[in-house]
Amino acid sequence: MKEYVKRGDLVILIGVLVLSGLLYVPLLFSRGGTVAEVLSDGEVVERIDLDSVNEPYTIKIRGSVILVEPGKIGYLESDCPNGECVRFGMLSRAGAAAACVPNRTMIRILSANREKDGPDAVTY
Amino acid sequence: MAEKRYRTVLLAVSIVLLMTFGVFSGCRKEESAEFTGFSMDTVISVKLYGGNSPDSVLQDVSGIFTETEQVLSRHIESSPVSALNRGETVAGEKWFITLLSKNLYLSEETDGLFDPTVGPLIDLWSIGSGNEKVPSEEALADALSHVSYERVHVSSENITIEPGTVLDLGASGKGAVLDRVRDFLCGTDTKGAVVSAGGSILLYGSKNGSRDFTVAVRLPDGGTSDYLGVLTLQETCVSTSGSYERYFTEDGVRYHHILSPESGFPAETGLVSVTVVYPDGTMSDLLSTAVFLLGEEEGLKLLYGHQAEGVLVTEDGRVIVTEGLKDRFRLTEEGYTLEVYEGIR
Amino acid sequence: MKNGRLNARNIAYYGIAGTLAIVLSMLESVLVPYIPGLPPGAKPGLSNVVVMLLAATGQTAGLLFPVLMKSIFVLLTRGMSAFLMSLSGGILSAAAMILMHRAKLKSIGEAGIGIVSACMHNAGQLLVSFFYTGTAALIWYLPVLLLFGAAAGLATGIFTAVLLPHARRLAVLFRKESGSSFTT
Repeated sequence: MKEYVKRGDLVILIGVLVLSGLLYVPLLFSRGGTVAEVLSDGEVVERIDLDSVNEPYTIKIRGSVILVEPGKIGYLESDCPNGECVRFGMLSRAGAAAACVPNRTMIRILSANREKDGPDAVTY
Repeated sequence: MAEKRYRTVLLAVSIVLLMTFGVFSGCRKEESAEFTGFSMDTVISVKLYGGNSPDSVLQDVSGIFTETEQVLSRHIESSPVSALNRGETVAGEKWFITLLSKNLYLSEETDGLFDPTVGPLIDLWSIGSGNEKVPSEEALADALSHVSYERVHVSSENITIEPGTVLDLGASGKGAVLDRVRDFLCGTDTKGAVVSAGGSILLYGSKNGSRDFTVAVRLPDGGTSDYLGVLTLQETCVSTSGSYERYFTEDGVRYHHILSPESGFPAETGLVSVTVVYPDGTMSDLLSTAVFLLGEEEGLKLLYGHQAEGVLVTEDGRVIVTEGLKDRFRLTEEGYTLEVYEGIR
Repeated sequence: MKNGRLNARNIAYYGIAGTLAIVLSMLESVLVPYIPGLPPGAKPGLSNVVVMLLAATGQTAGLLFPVLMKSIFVLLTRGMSAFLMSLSGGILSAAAMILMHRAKLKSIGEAGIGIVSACMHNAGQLLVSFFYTGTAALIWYLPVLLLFGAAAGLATGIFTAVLLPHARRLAVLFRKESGSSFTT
């Protein structure tokens, strides 16, 4: 075994593991997000307040079926050749995202500080 | 050997650059540019999103404001409006003629209850000048005798008004400049914009990928950050007319700046503020004044006829929204009741 | 680039390598559903072994074949988006291998190269997904991808190290014609 794994390899392995761990940190601190957005071709087509969802329901968009539950959202089924989007599971954390790349759709949960920071304009 | 090293470094650098580019091109936080200033006798604020050169577009927009003021202002001697008021015939630019036509059309529609020739009245009351007082009956009668929209003659090329008539386009100027700005923006690569001209708002395009904008309605008699409620709207214009904006008080009575072409006095129709949402800026501005002058019942009918949406606030604390705004207006201030106007049955 | 020139003999060799990559990738897709807890986009990367062996024996021009052939296969089976993801991942991954071999670091072996190239492959796929979705929001996914990339890369790297002596012997047969020079 020793000839196959060299010292430098271990350094790289540990380095990547540490990097991955570091990138995980913001995820640990993110709480459940409130607002989810469904995007198609980069444009927001639905904005959902996950906290005010009482009954689970589904959204059909471009061949995929998205399931919306209280506090959670995720791809349920999809007709895309990958089927990867479904494997993301249900998202609930702020900042989380899932995408169906072939259909160019995406779900994301907005991070907390994007919420209400003031109106775009005031009319008087 | 040195050559090999060089190639290696080049390859590494290009990979890093490619990846950075990849990440940043995916980021949707757009370029934006802002500008706040003073023009057309009021505070202007412009926010632009997206596009390759928002700063240069900003400059052009600022230029449009200045240009429009040069045409509409009664304080500028050389402006076409001033020339008209002196009795000259003016060959107007297309947008100016359209603006006047809309003013006249609304005057006809309301049977003169709205009238842009209220110049003499406005000058008489001179609200905002500092030394206002309630005019005498004779002075009012005299001023009223000159008020008639029928004395304005607009052809496809030029305009004349009969002697003694004085045009004041204050009720539509802000909306008109918003239309000009919007038409200009359409020809640029700007993705979205929020423009405020003295409380009249233009919403254009989209901001950071979303087509929704939030517009707060200021609380009558409130401070700059006191809101009555918040509207969630997509590309359109919003204008408000209120009795709390400009007024003076004499002997405990408040006289506001929205003068009735009929009585010559500030309109007393039971309304405190009217906010109109309509894609055409000029019309949103005109309608907000007209609805205020007409009062609740006739005003709502007028909006319905134009398929315009609005929020009316009455003196007895009722907030009436038209049906189209039912799910788009959130009342945030206490002490008001919300009603929905569902149109003529 | 003197290594692995593209002459008739080499092309045949590389073509076989490419086909092998495709076969391994097919095998992989069959196995993937049975691996528990595998996040989307993460794959064992069996076909990478072929690419890594070519890189390790100095056949840099030949790397083109498995990468392109596999990507075209993906195009035919899973569509344009998957094709672009495979291509971009493959190119970045191959580039990383080339760089690491050129740097001639004694303390790093195929295992380390495997880890780095697997992570680069994932990065390439992530980049393409940014273009398709129009936002970089998926970057939250990077730590998961890196984790699995490290694991997969380690495995394929070790596997490559095991096969290397055999691959080298094969490459010797082409040494004279291709004029390649590599360290043994």
